[in-house]
Amino acid sequence: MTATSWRVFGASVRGSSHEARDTPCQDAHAFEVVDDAWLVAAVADGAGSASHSQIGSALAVRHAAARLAAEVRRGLRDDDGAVERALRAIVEDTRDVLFDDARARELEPGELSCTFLLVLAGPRLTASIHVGDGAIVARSDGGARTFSVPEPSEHPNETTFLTSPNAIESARVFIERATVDGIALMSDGLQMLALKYPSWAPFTPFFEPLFAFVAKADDAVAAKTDFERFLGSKKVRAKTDDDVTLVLARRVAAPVAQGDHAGGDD
Amino acid sequence: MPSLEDQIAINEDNPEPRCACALLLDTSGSMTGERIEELNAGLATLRDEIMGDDLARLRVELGVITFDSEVNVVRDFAPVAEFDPPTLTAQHQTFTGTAILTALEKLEARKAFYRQEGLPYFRPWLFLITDGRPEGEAPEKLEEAKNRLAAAQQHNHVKVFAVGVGDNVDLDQIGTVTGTKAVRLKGTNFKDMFAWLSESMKRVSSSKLGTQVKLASIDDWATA
Repeated sequence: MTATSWRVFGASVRGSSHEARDTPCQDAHAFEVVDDAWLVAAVADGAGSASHSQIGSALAVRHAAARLAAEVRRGLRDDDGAVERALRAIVEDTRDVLFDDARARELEPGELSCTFLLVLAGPRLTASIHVGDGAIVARSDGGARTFSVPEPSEHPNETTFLTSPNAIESARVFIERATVDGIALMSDGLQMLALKYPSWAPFTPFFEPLFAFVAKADDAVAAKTDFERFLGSKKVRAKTDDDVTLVLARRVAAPVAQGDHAGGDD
Repeated sequence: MPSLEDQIAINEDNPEPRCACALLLDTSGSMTGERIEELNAGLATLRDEIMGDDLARLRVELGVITFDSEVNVVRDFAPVAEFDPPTLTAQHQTFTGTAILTALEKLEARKAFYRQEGLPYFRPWLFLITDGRPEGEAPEKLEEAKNRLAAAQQHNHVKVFAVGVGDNVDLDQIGTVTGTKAVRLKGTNFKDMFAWLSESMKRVSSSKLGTQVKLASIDDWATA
């Protein structure tokens, strides 16, 4: 089997409702590829009503991605229980980081509120932990499927945050002993554009061309520009005024120029 | 080479979330004159204001329930585009408890409709405006209304606002019945109150806001 690696693009783009109020993009994302084989990716969406949620979301993704990458380097165990425990420990730790940061800034923890999505994808293991809305989609031979759906909730504009009292209990973990060749993470701004309501199944005409785009994108700089332009395009903004984040990863033949990456509003 | 924007399709078929607001309006005898006139004018501007917002006009639904010695569902919930502002008259006593119970019933019915049709919905609002004490109905009605409303709020089924008009209204009593902090309208400034309500509905309509909607200050039109 030829060696493969992950090619990843990520962007967080400020929505028109924040532009209008001159408030910053509150979405953030981070990703890292470890030893070519392992993809670590995180997305966080700051609560609109929280004063400093852009700080919370940026902190959360950077900390969690770094922690998970470190776990991968140390060697993840083969049993699902250990993987789940590791993911839950990372979420608790990330939550503590937010609380500590709030304290240092003399803010209520709620002012750093954000949702949280974390993915690990590698040989024969695809795993995620997810607090709140947004979604994770996986691609393999059978096509695209939603790996982690937005948190079930009566009201789609109300969700659990990493700083919520019940954040840990509400966190959903999914582990599959399967190798996927594509992963997408999105904040809820893209939910109703990229998925089908109410099943949350992927809207294929959205994902298929996007995954193909990543597979063919050898000019990383040009591709990143195209990607960001798409997320800020009229087509997307006609359907949502929210911040949008998309991290798209595709397994490609190695080698791929690597470096870890974290970004807020790029 | 077509741009990414041209290559990628967005799902156009997902339904817009619904944002229902029940207007529970006191039309008892004491509302006669300037109060009911200003209220009527305000209802017309409310519709226009909401229709002026691209997102809100696709999502907001308005229902109007009046109460005096009768409770009337003057306008059942419907999309704001279909809202025909009523012209209300004022007469008789004040069946507040019965009105609250009716409003809760209509809200639950609307939510059942949303679920049946596969429509997402935001937590609905119940906006109560009254200028006096409950009068004329069986006392148990108010108690039942209070209990039902408390349960609904505890389960996060509804967001309640209560506005008292004039000096005869007992804000503490309204607060106790509705489980909220009732505010007093400044004079008959329904105009600014409805401007605030339409702005608030626009904010609620706008994507995700978390568990707390950040609303504009009420100082223009109310005192706490």
